[in-house]
Amino acid sequence: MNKEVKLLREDGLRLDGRRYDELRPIKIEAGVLNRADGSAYLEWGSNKVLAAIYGPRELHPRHMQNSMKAIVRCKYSMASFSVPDRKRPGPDRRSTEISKVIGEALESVIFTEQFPRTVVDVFIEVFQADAGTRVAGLTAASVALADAGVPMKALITACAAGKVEDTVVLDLGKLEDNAGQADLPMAIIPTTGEIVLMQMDGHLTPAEFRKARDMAVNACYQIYEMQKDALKRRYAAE
Amino acid sequence: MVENEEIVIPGEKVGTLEEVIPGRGTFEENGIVYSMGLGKLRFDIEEMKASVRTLKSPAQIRKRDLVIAVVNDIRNSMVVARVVHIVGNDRQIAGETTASLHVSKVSRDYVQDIRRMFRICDYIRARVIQVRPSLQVSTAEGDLGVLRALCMRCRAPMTRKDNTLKCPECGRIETRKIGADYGDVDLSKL
Repeated sequence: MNKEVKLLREDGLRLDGRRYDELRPIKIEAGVLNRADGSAYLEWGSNKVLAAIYGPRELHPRHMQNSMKAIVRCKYSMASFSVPDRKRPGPDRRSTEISKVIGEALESVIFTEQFPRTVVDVFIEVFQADAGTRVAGLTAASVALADAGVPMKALITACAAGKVEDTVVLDLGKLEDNAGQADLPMAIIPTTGEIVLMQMDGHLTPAEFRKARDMAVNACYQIYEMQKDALKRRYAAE
Repeated sequence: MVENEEIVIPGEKVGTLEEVIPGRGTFEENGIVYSMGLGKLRFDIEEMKASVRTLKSPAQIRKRDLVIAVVNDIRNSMVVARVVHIVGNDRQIAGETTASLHVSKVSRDYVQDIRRMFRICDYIRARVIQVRPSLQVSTAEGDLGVLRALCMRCRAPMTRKDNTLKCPECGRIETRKIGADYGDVDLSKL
């Protein structure tokens, strides 16, 4: 963690002019891909993410099938042009981990037992990355699943909080993520308040952790309204 | 049936168990009825049932569906076929796709030898007559049957000639339970 980078301005605002508890602008659009069963495009600050759903469909090879339920297979991938330095395309340690945690979070809300021997494929493609891509990807994937008509318990909403210059802030930008002291991405089921994803990078005291968690959860409810709005617009357009 | 104009999303509360019975597209948890999909909420006043009519849903094979299948195996009294498409639904099939077609369900007429009706790799149009415990289909309707067949000798697609099929490459004549729209269906789009 680099302490020399100034991340908060004299007036207490952050470098991009946001308050400590302010989200970046978010735009969500559902049903953007014709060939996918469900899809969503999300812009979160400078993040640009596309999620596509295929299935439930028959799983091959057959030995991977579960005779009791569907499996959720998630692939999170960053485009080679999504970051200032070219990213080597293809799976790596980070994207494999993110795919796993997003897939597990989504599986917790899908009625998988209704579709034995099948797979729900979730593809998340990050076109432009600016910190918080896993929460952006998960938020988009949740909307795409609903767009695909996959039976779900609820939507999932995700947001991150963190710590910069000893201040707990919401929704870290790229510089704050790189030079800050902590990052706490979280995903919840807004209708129940259940936490389905929580990771932490850096150090937070118990009090800071509770504050960051509460800020992220409150922000999730704001994002949930945007998800609902995107889905209702999608339905009205059909 | 009264249709409510309200659009609901997954997890949205539809009512309580004291008020409504959970119908299609809904589920109940701890006495609360929720929507399980994006759709329009409907209340059946007579049955006190809430259901959600979704915009899209996974392609599950149901009884009476028309399907297109590929013959995988032929036995003495039955054909095993893999369902590849539900007619009128563009989505990939969610669930069991291996179907059986018993000799008694091939045609309304008596079938002496099922191998004169179907051959491996034939594309057939069939009607689903049972989903559980096993998927079973029938072609015992006038317009159902083979949509595309390959010549047993040279594997060229055969063309229809009256009630038989003729190979345009080698001239071989074969019999099938030929569907009404044999050769007219673009199978590459399935």
